[in-house]
Amino acid sequence: MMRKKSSFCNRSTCFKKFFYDKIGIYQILLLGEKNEYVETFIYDQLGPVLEYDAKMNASLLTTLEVYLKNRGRKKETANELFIVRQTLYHRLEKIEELLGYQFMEPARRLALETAILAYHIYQSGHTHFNLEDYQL
Amino acid sequence: MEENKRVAEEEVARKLLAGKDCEQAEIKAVLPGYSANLHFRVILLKVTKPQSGTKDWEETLLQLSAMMKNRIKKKGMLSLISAAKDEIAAICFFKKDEHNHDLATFSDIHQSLVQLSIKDRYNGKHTMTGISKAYKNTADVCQAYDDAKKVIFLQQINLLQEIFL
Repeated sequence: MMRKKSSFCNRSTCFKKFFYDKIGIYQILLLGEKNEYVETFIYDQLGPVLEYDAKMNASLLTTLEVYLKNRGRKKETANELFIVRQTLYHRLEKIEELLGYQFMEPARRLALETAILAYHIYQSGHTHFNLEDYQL
Repeated sequence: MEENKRVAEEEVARKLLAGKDCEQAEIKAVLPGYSANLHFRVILLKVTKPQSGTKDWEETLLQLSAMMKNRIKKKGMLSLISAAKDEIAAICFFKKDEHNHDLATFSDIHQSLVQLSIKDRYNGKHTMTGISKAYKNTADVCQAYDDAKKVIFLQQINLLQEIFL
């Protein structure tokens, strides 16, 4: 399953993130050990959405990602995804159907956001962070 | 003389980055002014070897290292630098205060590296910088190096987004 290119990462902002002190949750996600639990966690949280995207060639994961990033604000989400609001509503209905109607509830939302970040690391081809690839 | 000094410094830096034992005296020998009460961060500058014009690449890396050292020195810090292949690692020693003012200083250094490496040589596309958290024990240089590599890894896969940061 190929990772769909994230549409929301502002490159100029990304570039400024150069302190390890500031990488937040990634300090945990890049602990260096292959962690099967994380992999299970990703698929427990996002499995239905990932399967739907793969089967239907859809982009629900990106939609969910941008929706979470915009804290559930539909107008901003639609703008960032370059889609009309009606399309967004249809996608959100589908996401709700797949993940359950309380997916924006705080604990669930935190789990989804963490799973999405971990998913992108795994999809980058690094099933775990291999420091050996980066030795001088 | 200068070359010998640089090679000796490079050897100590490599030893530390590789997590090998290194006596305080060895560090002092190549870095007068070093003392065990200094903290340090590792700055890692990752550059992409140009497709063409790579003949003098080693020389280019050395020049970049020298300029990097100079910029770090201007901020009142001591540094040990190692350059190899496509990256330059600088172990920067400084006096830490309780308000983490060094973060601002390192931001300044980063900014000057951006100007140095990107504008002048690599046109903004092929340089990434990672900076470790601050440590005190030189046995942790290897860990600091890993921190910096992780930041660069995240930049490479374009994941440093707003969420949680």
